[in-house]
Amino acid sequence: MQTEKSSLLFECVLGASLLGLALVHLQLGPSETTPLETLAYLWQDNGSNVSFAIRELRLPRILCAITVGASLALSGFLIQVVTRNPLGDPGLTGVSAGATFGVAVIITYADPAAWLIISAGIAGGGLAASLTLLLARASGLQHIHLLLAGLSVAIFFMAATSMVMVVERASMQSLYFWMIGGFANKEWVEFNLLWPVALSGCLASFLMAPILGLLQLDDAVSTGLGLQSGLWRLTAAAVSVVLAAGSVAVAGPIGFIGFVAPHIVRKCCRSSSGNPVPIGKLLILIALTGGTLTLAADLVSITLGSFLHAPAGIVVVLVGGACFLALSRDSVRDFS
Amino acid sequence: MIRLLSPYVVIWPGLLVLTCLVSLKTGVTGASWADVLNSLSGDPSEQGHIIATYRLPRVIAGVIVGIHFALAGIIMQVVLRNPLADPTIFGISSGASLAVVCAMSVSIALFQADGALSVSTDYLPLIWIPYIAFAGAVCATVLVLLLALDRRTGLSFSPGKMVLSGIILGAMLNALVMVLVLSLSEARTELAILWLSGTLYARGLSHVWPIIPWTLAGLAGLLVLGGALNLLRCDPQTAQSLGVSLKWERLGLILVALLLAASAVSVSGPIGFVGLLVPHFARLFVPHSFSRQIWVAVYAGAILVVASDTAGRMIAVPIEVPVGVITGLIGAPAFAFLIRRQTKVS
Repeated sequence: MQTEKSSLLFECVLGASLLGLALVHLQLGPSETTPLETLAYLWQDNGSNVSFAIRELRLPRILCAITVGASLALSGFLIQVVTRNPLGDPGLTGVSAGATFGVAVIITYADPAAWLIISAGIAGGGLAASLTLLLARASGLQHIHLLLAGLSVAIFFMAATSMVMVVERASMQSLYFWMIGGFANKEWVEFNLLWPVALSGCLASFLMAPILGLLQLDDAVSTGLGLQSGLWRLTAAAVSVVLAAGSVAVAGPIGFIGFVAPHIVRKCCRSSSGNPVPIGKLLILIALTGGTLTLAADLVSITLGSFLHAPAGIVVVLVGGACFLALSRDSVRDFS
Repeated sequence: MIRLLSPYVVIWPGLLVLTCLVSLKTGVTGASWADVLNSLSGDPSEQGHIIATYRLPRVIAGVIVGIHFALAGIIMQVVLRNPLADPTIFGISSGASLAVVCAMSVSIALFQADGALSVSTDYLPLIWIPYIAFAGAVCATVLVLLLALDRRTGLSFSPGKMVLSGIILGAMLNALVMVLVLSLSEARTELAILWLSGTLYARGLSHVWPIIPWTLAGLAGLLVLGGALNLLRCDPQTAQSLGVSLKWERLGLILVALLLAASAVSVSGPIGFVGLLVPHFARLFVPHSFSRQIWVAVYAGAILVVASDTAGRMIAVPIEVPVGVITGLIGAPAFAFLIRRQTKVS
């Protein structure tokens, strides 16, 4: 009973904050509106500048932020399940950096169609993920080795991305802004690129939900239950790469969301009675939490915007990094 | 006499000189070997002028920065008993960068009215910058060590956690540097490159002079504490049974490493992985003699930085790839390899 109560409270808070943040976000900007007016503009375009700002600039930005956050959160959760590592995250395992590299290469050397950008991101992310797994395999994917291997892969692909962009004369400023990730100037074009990937990734992970639950068990147990755990692990990893690649292609490599969101959900939905939340519901909650966090980060970035240039990615790194440092202190076992 | 002529005494300096000469020759305006050699003896021609006023100071800066990072790396790896130690991986360079950029932002904010913005990077007297960088490096180190402190066993640091918290802390500090650089001087990308990637672009003698005393202080410190450093290579039990606690020596050595790393950052920004790679490389070449390892590290550090800088200038003429990007490309795979080896050892 306790579980259901605390989980219900969490769901209400989550839903309310997501809607509230979105509404506040819609109002922020040079042209001020009241909440009611904002909703009216969403309902009907009256051709005014405010209406244009809300429908064509702010709404797609919000949708991008929520979708990217949800994708990253699910991607992180999948990585955590596949590697049995509670500190898994597309950024920390090098997947985002690999996808960034793929996207940077295809954008600088070709004038690609949307699906090509995403495919390049998936290829780069897949390459990085395989490298990380290959490097950490010898240790049986222990926490610290997996993280360090992932970080070295991430550092490499970030350096390679800088190289590609410098050589092709991108300005260093746009390079740095893109490499930290953010949602400034995201419009419907970007959202249209993003949503098919995000949606298929989300659907795939929901379809896999029962299997994800089994994968969290011991390999021996899940094999005993008749599960081809190796194959499913690979599938889950592939879905997480696709989710990460889609969000990187739109918003750049935003780190830590995939690590923080599942943690928050686990913390808030677990209680003394110890009944685990059903895995399908867990996935929904994680996706929503990721979306809410990213939207909040973007809101902070806009609010700071008047005197500090801090894209959402920077806000996420600062907050998420602090969370990571606090949580990894006790949960990471060292070499030995 | 025989020792003087041994390969380590001839080959390494020779390699360094060769690398420097190639670096002097490389650049947007082509130069022949004759130009390079003439310019060193005061040649008035245009090429000679370019080489003597732009490239030579830059090469000198590269050599000194390389030596600083290499020595800092070798000291940290021994004192912290961590084969993955490196000023940049541990976030120490980012701490130094952040301190300098903070100080710059404050001075820009204070002196903006005087039109000081027209001066490109010299908002602060260059002589102060190493001190500010040192303060930042000390703060970052204390943070990383606190985060890696093993609560159960008292005063010991877990090597893996040190690296992990160092990288994450470094990413956070870099994010702050980025916010400051990009919001206070939006058009000044050269600042962003300098304090985030590490570059030798436009570094000259005016940047090198202020850190020469730091180099000398670091070398003096190393000379005084060299014996302790050698002892620290043994495992803690051996050192203890020899009757030395070496607590103060360890602290002193860490401060020497920070002093070297911070002053290097104040010239070139955080050039990653030099401090990580060079000591391992030296160990590979002279496994048995620690004093020779230090010498090899000094030369190899200088060569690595100058060579990476040269490569960065050669890849996409007339654009420069920052030297930190090149060392990152070389360093990350080596880092992965070292992590793997650590796995097999443990």
